[in-house]
Amino acid sequence: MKRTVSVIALLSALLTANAQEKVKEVVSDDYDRSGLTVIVVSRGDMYDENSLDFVNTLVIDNKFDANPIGTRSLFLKKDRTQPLTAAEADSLIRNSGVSKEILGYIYNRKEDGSMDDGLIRYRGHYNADDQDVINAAAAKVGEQHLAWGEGLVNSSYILLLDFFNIRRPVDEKTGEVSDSYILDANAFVYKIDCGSDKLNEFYVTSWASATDTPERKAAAREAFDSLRLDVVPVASARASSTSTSGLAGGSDAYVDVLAGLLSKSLGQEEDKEGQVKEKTSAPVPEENTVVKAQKNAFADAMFKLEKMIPGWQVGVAVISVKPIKAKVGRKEGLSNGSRFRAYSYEEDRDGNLLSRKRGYLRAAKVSDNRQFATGRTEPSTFYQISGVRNIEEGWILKEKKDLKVGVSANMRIGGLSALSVNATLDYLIHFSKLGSAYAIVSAGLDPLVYTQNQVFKDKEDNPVAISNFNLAVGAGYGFRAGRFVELMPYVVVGTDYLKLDGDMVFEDFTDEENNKNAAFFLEPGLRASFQVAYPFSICLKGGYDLLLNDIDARTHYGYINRSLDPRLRHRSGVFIEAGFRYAF
Amino acid sequence: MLNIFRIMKKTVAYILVLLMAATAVSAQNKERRKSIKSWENYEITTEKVGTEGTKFVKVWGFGKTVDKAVMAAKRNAVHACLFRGLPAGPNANATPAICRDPNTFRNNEAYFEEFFAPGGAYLRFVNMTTDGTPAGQDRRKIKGGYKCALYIQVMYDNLKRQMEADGIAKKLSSGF
Repeated sequence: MKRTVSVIALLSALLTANAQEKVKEVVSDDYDRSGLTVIVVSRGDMYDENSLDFVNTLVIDNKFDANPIGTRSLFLKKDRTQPLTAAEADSLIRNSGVSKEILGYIYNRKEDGSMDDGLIRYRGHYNADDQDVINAAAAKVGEQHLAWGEGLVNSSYILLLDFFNIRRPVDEKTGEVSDSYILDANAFVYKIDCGSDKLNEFYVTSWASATDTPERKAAAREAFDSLRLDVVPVASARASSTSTSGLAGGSDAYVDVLAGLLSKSLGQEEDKEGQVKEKTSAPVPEENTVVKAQKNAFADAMFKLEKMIPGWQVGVAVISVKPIKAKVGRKEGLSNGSRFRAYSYEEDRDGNLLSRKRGYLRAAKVSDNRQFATGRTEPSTFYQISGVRNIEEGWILKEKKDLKVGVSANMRIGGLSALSVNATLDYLIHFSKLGSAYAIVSAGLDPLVYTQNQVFKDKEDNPVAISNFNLAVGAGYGFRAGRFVELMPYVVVGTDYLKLDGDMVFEDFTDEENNKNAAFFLEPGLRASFQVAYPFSICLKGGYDLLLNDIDARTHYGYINRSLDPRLRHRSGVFIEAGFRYAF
Repeated sequence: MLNIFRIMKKTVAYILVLLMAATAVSAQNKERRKSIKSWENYEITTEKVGTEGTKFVKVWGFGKTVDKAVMAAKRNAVHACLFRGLPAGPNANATPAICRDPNTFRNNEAYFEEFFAPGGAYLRFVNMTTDGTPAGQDRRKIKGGYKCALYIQVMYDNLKRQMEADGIAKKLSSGF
């Protein structure tokens, strides 16, 4: 009996603990714009100037209100091969007084200690959504209430960026120093701890308007100087990056290259006051290579941080379905293909609020809402890409950034070779009601060629192995047949290499003939993806590999190919392929 | 024999424990269902001071569907103005009930049944100010339906005048 009671008690405790755990998991449905100040760490070396260039030319995403203060860098004497520790970062930020400087910027604090609320009013109005506008119309205070964004002060963040381990790779064979730079970065995010109590203290002691007496201004100045405004560590992330003098590199480089194949996207810039202007088409002067690497590392760090900091994740309600629409747009940094996750809310038997994860969606038609809300904001359109249940009105969409990249590994029968192993990387370029446009890079190799090591022999009569790989780039358009199936016709062009191991050449061939160790091929095909559990899907592919070169010609490629077992020779042909795909 | 007796004792103990647990859960659920269905059980907060002659409130409603919960919330807003009064909010004072006599509802049951009937006269005194349908945490699935919160503007002065004209509420001047 005792044991039974103990078991029941234990079960109850576990159930209660589980219920409490669920309560903690409730996703917030609030979203307010955050302010962001980026500061770099100076180490007292040659890269300090690059870091300053980086922070001075940085363009912050539309979804943030930029708080550019006078302090752009904080100094810490430490060798740049060593990263800054979290304790060092804390100490740097807390002793710097940047939190007060940001408060001063937000309230437009002048030399004489006077301030005004122009910016905070502007931001309050800009942050307001349609519900705020409708509420304001129903309230006696009217729209004046909208223009009071003091709540936004408490969502002011500081991003301390430390670039370290900056180096130029050296070619091991030739000893040549590369043009590119590789660096690592640590990003530490802090939030200004300025709740309503602190803000009230600030208004009472440190506020002075332009019309106040000089004595009042002096008293306010003194109070502001002695005001203590703490910061709270929020998150940190590490990023790595490379760049060359010709092309931006790092984590975003391949994305740039792939995206460039099929589309050109218009960027925006945000000026000091949070207002947005279109980028001009004038050529941008080439940037310092280190700064490029720093910008790539910053983008990488921001990608990670936005996934970690809930306050930075845009949240918005679904206002209609078929198609799914939500009042969010460019003001919140939304772009075509942006990924969101839907949540619904429910109460358990005890009345505890729970949020349930539903499917993922992507933005298709993005509205330009970069203006004050009027109550009739144009919504953006989304389409559901996963989830068993259909999205319903009133559910919340939370931003879940992704790389828009899918990687698949497949086994192929037929085509160029009898059997091959392939890997494909696809990058989402454009998302619409109909489907998704992808840029594709694929690589493959014929494992059976590696068994043909008795075909060629070197001067000492030792067998020479043959190696093969192929690389192709192209594009495809994935038509969504329901939310779980995608049919993608595609075409890629590539080269198929057949080489002797150790870069051996045929002595009776000319250099030109020996250099022709690859054949071009064209591959039209169709990929069918079946979603098993997002982001995991099973892929089936079929198509035709068309060799574009004359394989009977006297070339390195042709000769090796003709020497292979007839069943293993590379040729034009039909193929089928099966594998799996994972979306990142 | 002794073994059988022991086993029976154990079984009865198990059954008793299970029955007690089931009864407790069932009672809890019944209580909750009852409290949800109850007319008096709704939450209301004053959001801000409304424009002239109106009250601006956030009120909850329950219903089997979202639409029914929305209707219930509208009805609750008017009910609160008539019988409960509105609580003070961070930026607004409390508002007393229009019908101060606690027996008003019972004494005029037929009138209020018609007044609060689906599509009844109460709808003339509410403006829904929620942007679209209730969303996010203001739209909660509960066992047996939905619990939704709405932002509502109640035409308080008009409602008061109507009640006075219909002889339900006494005019302030009637006491003198």
